[in-house]
Amino acid sequence: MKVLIIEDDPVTSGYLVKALGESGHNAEALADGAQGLQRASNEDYDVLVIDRMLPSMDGLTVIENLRSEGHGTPVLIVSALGEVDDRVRGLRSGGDDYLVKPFAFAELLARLEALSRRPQGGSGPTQLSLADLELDPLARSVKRAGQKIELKPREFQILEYLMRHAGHVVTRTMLLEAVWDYHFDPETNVIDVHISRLRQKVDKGFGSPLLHTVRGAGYILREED
Amino acid sequence: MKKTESTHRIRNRLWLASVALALTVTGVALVIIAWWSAEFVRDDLDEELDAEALELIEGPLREGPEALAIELRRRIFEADSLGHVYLYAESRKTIIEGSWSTWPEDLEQVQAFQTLGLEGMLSPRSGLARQVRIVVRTLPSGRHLAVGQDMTEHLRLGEGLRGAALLALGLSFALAMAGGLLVSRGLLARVEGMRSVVAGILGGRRDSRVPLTIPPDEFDLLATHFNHLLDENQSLLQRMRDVTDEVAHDLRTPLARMRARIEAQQTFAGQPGQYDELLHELRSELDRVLETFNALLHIAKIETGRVQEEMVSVDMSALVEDACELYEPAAEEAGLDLRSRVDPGIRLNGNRHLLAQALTNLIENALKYAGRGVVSILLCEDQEEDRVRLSVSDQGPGIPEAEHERVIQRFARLESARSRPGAGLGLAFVSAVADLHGANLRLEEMSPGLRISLEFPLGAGDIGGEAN
Repeated sequence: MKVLIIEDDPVTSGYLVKALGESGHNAEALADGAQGLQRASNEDYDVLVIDRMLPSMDGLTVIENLRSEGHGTPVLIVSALGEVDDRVRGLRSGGDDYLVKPFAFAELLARLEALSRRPQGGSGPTQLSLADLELDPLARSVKRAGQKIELKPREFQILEYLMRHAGHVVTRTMLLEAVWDYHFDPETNVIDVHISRLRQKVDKGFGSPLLHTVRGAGYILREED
Repeated sequence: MKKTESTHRIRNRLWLASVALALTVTGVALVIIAWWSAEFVRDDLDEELDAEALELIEGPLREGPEALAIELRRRIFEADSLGHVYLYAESRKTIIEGSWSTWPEDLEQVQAFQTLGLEGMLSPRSGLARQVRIVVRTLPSGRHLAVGQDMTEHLRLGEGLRGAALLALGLSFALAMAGGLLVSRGLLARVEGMRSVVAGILGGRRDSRVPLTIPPDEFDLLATHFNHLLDENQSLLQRMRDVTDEVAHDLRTPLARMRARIEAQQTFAGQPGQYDELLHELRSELDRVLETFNALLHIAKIETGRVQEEMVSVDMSALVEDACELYEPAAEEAGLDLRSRVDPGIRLNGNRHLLAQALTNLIENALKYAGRGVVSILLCEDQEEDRVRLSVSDQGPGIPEAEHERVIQRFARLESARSRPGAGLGLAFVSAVADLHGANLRLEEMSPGLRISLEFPLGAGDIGGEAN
């Protein structure tokens, strides 16, 4: 995954470049908004990380310019401005996801990976499957090894989200945003209990587990190697 | 705010306008009167002359030209002192009988009323007359008869009118000057009053307000709004100051603790393994600081009404059901029974995200402090009181009645809860959200347990949550 980080704080961007490199990605950083816009429109990146407050041109203007030039590269906005209206403004300007500072690196990585493989346009496949697990978003039905599994609506939504991101880490915050549209973190680990209930239905009694917990990050749906 | 010429611009403008208006009205009225009276006097004169000419034609002329000549001579003799003029002529050159020996060059021999200037011409009476009004009649014989009267009286009347008009104009000018100055000064004294209040506030006298008069006039209406604005401003300022103080106090404590922890590590340089432990501690301490900081800013933002534009119609029934569904498994895990009774189809105007967060705060508090029993969530519409009630009740230890007011304040946490996690901002946040939506926040002792309810006025959202 080739990532361009436009961020004026050298400590943050240095850390991100290093950490992304260690996770096997290729990241570079620029501190200036106008330069960042030029680089982003001249080279191909899988995903962009853009800070809102930047010298010479603010992050939202960079994104608006990119979009008006026809660049569809997914953008993750990172910002210390974390209220709901800040987020709405960020997404309205053409950003694809919004992460509030300070954030855990695992959260950023999970979101970048989700973004870089987001299908451009369209609503994705009509049939999702992983190993012997099948999910039909239209019929709202789930089968494992040919056997029908009854899920509550929220459980279905969680599973659908995990399947669309199969093989990649999904954080608790991502689930709260995608399934409940909550843009704040409750103190209680409410998501964990939902996941363990889902795991009871999807994994229990079947061969190998598919739903795994990634410590310090979130969950991942994948076949065990 | 220096008082220069320019600060009097409005006063001068008002003043000038009133003077100009007075002069225009008076001037126009006088011109109309003068013109109309001149017309009236001349028409009167013309009628008189016409009647006299007719009388001469119908009377003496019937008896023959000689009789007319004799009558004219008699009248000329008498008329000389009355300013009358008569001419009876064969042609321009041949005068049969007349006040003058020749027919004046400017006098046309046609049937019409004419005004004749008498420069250098002899006056029938005195040297005073400058103009004579004359009616000329063509007689059946082809001769002409002219009957006239000098216009001295007429002209004198005009002069008198002009003098009176000038006097009236002068008077109205003086009155308008004085009156305009007084009125504009009076009006602007009120404006000046407001200005000095603002100047006072800028100078530090924050409590000064514009005084009101009784009975109230338009200026008092403006002053009332103005004072209201000042009050609002002051209370926002006060809230900002409170927040700043709280931030300073409650962030300095953990920061000082972290600093001490680092300093201790440096002084008593321990084993390398201890660094991991230190970093771990510092990180979680820092996370708490950031969390507190964010929560404070969020509350401040809500309290200062900066989220108004997010107000939309919110499906409260769905919102409450979603939250219950999210927490139900966690509650069960914690050994609590989360029950909900939600009336369908209840909508409120509000900020969905803030309402959801306030509700989850209440649920989390109940889960955290109740420990056991039933946590019940209720959403219903009270038709009689025009209210929507949302309540979360638990069967935990509750909060002593005397403490209810205090727990809503920021950071207030009961002594017994000090050891538990949470920045103590939960209820303060709920209270701020309630205020924003014009809702009442009520704490009730259920013995055992606590019920916290939010009572939203029905339709209150329509006026933007009554945040002001």
